[in-house]
Amino acid sequence: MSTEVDVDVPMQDAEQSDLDLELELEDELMKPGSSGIADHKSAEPVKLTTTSIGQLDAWIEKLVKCEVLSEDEVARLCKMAVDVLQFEENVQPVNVPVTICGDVHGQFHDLIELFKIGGPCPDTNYLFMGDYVDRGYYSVETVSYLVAMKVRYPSRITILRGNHESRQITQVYGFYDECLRKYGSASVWKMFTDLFDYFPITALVDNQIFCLHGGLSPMIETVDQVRDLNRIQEVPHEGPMCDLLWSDPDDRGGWGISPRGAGFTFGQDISEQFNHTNNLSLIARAHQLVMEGFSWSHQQNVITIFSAPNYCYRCGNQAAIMEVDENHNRQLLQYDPSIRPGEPTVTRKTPDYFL
Amino acid sequence: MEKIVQNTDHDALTCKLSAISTRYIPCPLVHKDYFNYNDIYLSYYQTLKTLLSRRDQGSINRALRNSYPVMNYGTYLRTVSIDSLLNSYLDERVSNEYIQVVNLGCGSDLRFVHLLNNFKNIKYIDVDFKDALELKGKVLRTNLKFKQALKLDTEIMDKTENGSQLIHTENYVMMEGDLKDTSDIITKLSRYTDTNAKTVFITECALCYLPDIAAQRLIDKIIDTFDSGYWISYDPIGGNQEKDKDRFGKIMQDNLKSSRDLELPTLLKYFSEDLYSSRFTQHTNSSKKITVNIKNLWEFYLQSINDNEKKRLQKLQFLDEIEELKIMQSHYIILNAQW
Repeated sequence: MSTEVDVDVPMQDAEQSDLDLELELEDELMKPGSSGIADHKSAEPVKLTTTSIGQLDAWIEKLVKCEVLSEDEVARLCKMAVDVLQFEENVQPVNVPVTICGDVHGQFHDLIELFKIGGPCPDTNYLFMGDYVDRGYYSVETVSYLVAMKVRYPSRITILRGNHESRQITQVYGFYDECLRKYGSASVWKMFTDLFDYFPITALVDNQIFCLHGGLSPMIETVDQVRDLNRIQEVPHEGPMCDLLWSDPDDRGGWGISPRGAGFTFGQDISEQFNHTNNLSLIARAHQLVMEGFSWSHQQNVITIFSAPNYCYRCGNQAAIMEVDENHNRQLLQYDPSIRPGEPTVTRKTPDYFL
Repeated sequence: MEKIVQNTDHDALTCKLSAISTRYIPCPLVHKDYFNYNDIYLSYYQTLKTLLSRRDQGSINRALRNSYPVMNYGTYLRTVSIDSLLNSYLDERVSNEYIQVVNLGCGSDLRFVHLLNNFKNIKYIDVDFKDALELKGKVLRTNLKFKQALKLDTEIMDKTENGSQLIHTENYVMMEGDLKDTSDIITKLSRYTDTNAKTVFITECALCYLPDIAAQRLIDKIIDTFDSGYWISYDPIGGNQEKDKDRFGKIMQDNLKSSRDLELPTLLKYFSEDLYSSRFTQHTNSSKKITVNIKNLWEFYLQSINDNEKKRLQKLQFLDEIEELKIMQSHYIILNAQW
């Protein structure tokens, strides 16, 4: 069908430079590891020194004010983060109590609101299920802050990988452009996307709640099979790792083709079977915008949590996080966009509309 | 205010160029007889750029680079929903009838190029503010392709539009006017069209910028004046704040007001499909029977885009925003009203 477009015009060649929206990145740029942040990985877990704690605290203090780190600081942060994340598991064990959160998507001020609603980290333990970057205007600040918190309080906060923590997706949805805009080059983008390869892809809360960004995969029947994956790579276009980050629960039973073009849809029968096989009480996932901030599906076998209120500054949705206490009681907390005193409630940049 | 509304045409054009460059449009079904679709728009843009300020050029270029799949989908749905209504109305009639098409608030829309090319028996009237039409006229005259296609060499000079750049040929007319000034619009329309002939009116994101009273007066007067017509309208609707706690319209209004001082006076008043279509059905001034159909663009996507076409779209870009697409598209409607 696309040939119709192809044969269209002798003109189109001349226009190519103007309208060519595909970013033709050099091969070098797309190559995993080219940033060098993982060139000198430690062979074993590193203990934080007084100096590194001081350094991290200074960075966190800066970031919490929504100020970006310098390129050099990001490089140091990412190197430290590799040495934390490389030792985490594909199925990272997490203890209760913990507060489980969904997509943030660069809405930095709403992330700060999230910590107000849920309680400050490290006093409260947090588990984030991916999608820190893209769409919102503060992806750099958001991911820098969460990574800094992760390195500073590794056992207090868990950050999983979402489908947007990928080289390919961030070029379409804004993180790449934001890095270019804020740093004048792609190097910070390279460092972060190299770091994303190390993020764990799922977590298991007290052996009961299976947490991941997207959903299940027809190639994964047991949690142990997730443990066998090689996760340190760019998110593939297909296969189990792709599915875990892309799939969605659906009202229809069985496996279905996803309208997103990656991953699958899975029905209640699949969720029930998975939870039964693995002795789980719940699958907690993010990935989908839900108007109330959370949404139960598959007769409480699956919960979707979405933590970006008024997504893209125009959707009008609430956000939510889920607290799980020592006794496995769950409480859902909803919240709206933060209102920043002295600043307009709406962002300076207009979100896109059809006009 | 006029300038602010006119600037929305840059958004529309940018969105269209983006959807073309990412191959959402032309649609292989709806646009199969639209010759050189890409070429026409790219060519227009190429010439337009030479006439725009660097600032405007820059903002269009930036917007083009940052266009998300959800926007390309929406532009595709907007274009395809209007064109499919237009095509099927014309296809049924134009072989034995003379049809007039009036695009109210046309901006840089280039539908007339395809329609005049495909149908011999039609006349096309582009209506907009003078500035907008003069710029468009300049582009069309400067660009050799359009000049030839529109036979601008044999153009009839309109004596009443003394010295203006507006184009006036046998079957294509640029009519300047402010949609808020209904009596002026009706007077001019009566001059350029035959009010007894079947006439299609297009309002593509045009009614939404008008004050309630002006929009209603325009609808009423046109239905009164033209014996037999077909109205195609595409617009946003605000959603039900009370019942569904739907905040989309309120947020849209606030965003556009604060960032570019753009007002949407009726967005929250006619917030649902029913309320929007009531502006056409509540028409009481005449005994004309009016049939109105309306659906939101999400329904249009589900019901009117076939599976093959959906698959084609899915292959163009990853659409990671299906829920967002649903929210946005449920707040835009496509209406047709026939009398």
